Amino acid sequence: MGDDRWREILQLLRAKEELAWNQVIDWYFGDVFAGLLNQVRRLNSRHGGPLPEPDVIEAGRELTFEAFRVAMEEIDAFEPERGDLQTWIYWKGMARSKGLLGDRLRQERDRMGQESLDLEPEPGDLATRRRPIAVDQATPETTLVSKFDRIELRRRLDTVFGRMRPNQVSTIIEVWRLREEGIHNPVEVAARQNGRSVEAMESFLRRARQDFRRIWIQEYGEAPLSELL
Amino acid sequence: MTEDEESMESLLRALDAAYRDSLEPPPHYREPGASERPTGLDSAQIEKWRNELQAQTRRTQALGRVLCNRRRAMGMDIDDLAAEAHWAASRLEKLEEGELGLNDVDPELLAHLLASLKVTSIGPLEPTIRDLARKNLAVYEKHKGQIYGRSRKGVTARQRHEDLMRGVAGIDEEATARAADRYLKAVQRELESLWPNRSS
Repeated sequence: MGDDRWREILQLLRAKEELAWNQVIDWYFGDVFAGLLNQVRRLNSRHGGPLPEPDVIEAGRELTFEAFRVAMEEIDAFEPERGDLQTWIYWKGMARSKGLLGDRLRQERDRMGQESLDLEPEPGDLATRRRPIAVDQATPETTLVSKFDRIELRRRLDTVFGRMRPNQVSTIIEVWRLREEGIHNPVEVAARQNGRSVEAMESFLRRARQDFRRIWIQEYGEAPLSELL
Repeated sequence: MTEDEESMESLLRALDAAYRDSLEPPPHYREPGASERPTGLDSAQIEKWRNELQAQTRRTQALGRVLCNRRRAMGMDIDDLAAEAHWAASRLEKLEEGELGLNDVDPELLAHLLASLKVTSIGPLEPTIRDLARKNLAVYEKHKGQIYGRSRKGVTARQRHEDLMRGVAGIDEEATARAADRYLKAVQRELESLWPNRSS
């Protein structure tokens, strides 16, 4: 989505100017919809595909409308130095996808007679696999602590990423997202998408991790990252 | 697992824990666009939904009011905008008040006005301009015989023509739609020349 036309009208968007929002819908509706439809398809398939394709498409449309609506409401919180507006709008829809679709998918799956009510982990789904406390064992206290940890971890990562080169950060994030999508060879796919050889990508990522580690130590000492996980 | 793989694993796990349920995306993250994520759907269907969302967002229907709101949101007064867009301030005022029809506005001039208001393509304004163009550029069916009428003070030639034709000849819908189309295309062409590479 590397297009920054929104920068010229950001002030108007923050003023909730109607034409400005219509311009943003004009430019980015297709991109946001494509990303969110992909997300709905993944969620549906993770639940065993209970929704038929027309319902999946309709859910993608609903989510896209919701993403733009939330973005309009929360535009004051958007930080342009962190990334593109269109990705931020997409993320607003993505963050709501589980809430909006979770119940529907569970109901459909139950109707189809499947067993578990919990999300099936995706391949490479680290959070689900490594989370020390199962959802059904979580107490309000552990949930609170884990939420606090996540916020603290996010704050630290934001700080370290803020001192790294943007292309290093975006490549690391790209590999993470590909893996989250269930792709087993994210480095190879990221290399292909960026027009690099796998070796060049691995070497680039190695240097990025070295920089990450160096800055992490400068900011937080030798405390390993895993302490917060 | 090698030390290298382990360090990548640990970083990816950290990202997962930090951003998976976050309401804000990670920094410098760029979601692939539609060209990289084919939906398999007809583009006309996606365009229809886009227009539907735009219609829901649009509170103001009148072109003059929309342009006036944009000008004010940009903190410009009529004289500033008129000077920048090469318009007469009085005509701009009339356009904002809905007293100037598109039949009196060259499409190129309208494009200059839109460009000064940072509108890079006609897309978001298309329904509004099309509606007004269909009204202002109405083509009447042929009428046999003479129609007489006098000019009246404060009434434009176009308004006088419309008044005279009312009840005498019907509107040729197809020809009117073609005239509106031509007008819109001319505005878009000019916008593209004013905003090269930014109008799509």
